[in-house]
Amino acid sequence: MVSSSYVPGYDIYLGEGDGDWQEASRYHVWTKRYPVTAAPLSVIERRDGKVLRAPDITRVMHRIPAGTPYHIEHLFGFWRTTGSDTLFIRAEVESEVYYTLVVGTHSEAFGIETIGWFCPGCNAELRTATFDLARFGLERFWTFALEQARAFNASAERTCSGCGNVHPYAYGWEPSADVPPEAEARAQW
Amino acid sequence: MFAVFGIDQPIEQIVNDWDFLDEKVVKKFTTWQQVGGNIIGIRRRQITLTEIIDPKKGHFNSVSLTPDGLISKNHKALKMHITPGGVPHRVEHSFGFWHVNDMDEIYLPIPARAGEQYGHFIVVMQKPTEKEGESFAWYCERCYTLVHEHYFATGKIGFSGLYHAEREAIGTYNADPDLRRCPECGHDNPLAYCANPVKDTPEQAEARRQW
Repeated sequence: MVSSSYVPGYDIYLGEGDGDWQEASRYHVWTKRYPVTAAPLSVIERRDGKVLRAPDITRVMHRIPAGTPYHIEHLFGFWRTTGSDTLFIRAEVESEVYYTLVVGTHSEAFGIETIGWFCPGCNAELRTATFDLARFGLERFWTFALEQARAFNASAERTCSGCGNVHPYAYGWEPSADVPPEAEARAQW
Repeated sequence: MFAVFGIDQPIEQIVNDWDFLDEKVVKKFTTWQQVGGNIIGIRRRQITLTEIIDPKKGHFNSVSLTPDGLISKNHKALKMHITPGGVPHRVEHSFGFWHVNDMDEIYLPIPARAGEQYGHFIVVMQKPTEKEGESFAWYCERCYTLVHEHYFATGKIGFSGLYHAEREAIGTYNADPDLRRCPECGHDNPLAYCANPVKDTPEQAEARRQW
């Protein structure tokens, strides 16, 4: 018989820790604190063929609906699509900005993640790949994402076959893993 | 770099739920709102690094019932707390029953913006599927034995029926002294009361002061 310990609750202190994702019961949570002077981590998402940008104001709680491709500038260099809703919270408190992302894993639709890239010039899809997050877990997802980003960077897919626009370099989740062109791309988009 | 596809009118006209903390939007979250895969409530409270004060109900102390007895969640600013599904929890003097949800719940208190009195106390509950629900429950305040439970099939019936279920559960429990008497230790437990103090009878208001 397999049994697990009884956990009556999880405490997560915003902005503390190393900025890794945490798995708490049926939630994935990420939180990190930045100086208010840092470049904002802006959410942009694709809805009905348009790219919409969440406002960079002092306090925001925004829902990214399940199935909506989104990118968070300077945080990860691709578009992510999740099977359940993602909540994004930005809170300026004095001289700091606290960012939080929350993904519920309870939804039956949760599990298959899609990452991809779209042409900034004409919006055409350049490359997508899927990953079974429910089966393989978060840690391997971010490894997969970095591998895909590097495969994209090395491929001819960065150049749009429709309009000829060259997509900036992609990058992964962890800044310490960036090679110089990825670090430069992270600062850019 | 994707701004070329940006919109040319205020975002709230395009997506009216774009920012739940927007002053025009946040008010609707004073009652629970089903939004996508979650049920969300946002309350304005005094939120500091040491405590939380509800302007109507006073000091906010949320507790969970565990095999080791009662523990306070000790909510405070910038500390997220996740209560996993199945853990009985309640807020003292705020609602007079134990809430046992099949779904996980998140609590996130964010302090007031500069110049404002109240911060945002955000509660997110996972939306139940058809086979999931929640209970209004009562445990003996002396020995923690379960004395009564009223289950509501939220996922099947729908969240809108929850307020009626709350009234029904409390009415049933309060009407029968035998339900409130602990079968283990014989203690007579206090009356239940609902989350909204406006609905209190004088006896329920007294119970709210008590527990």
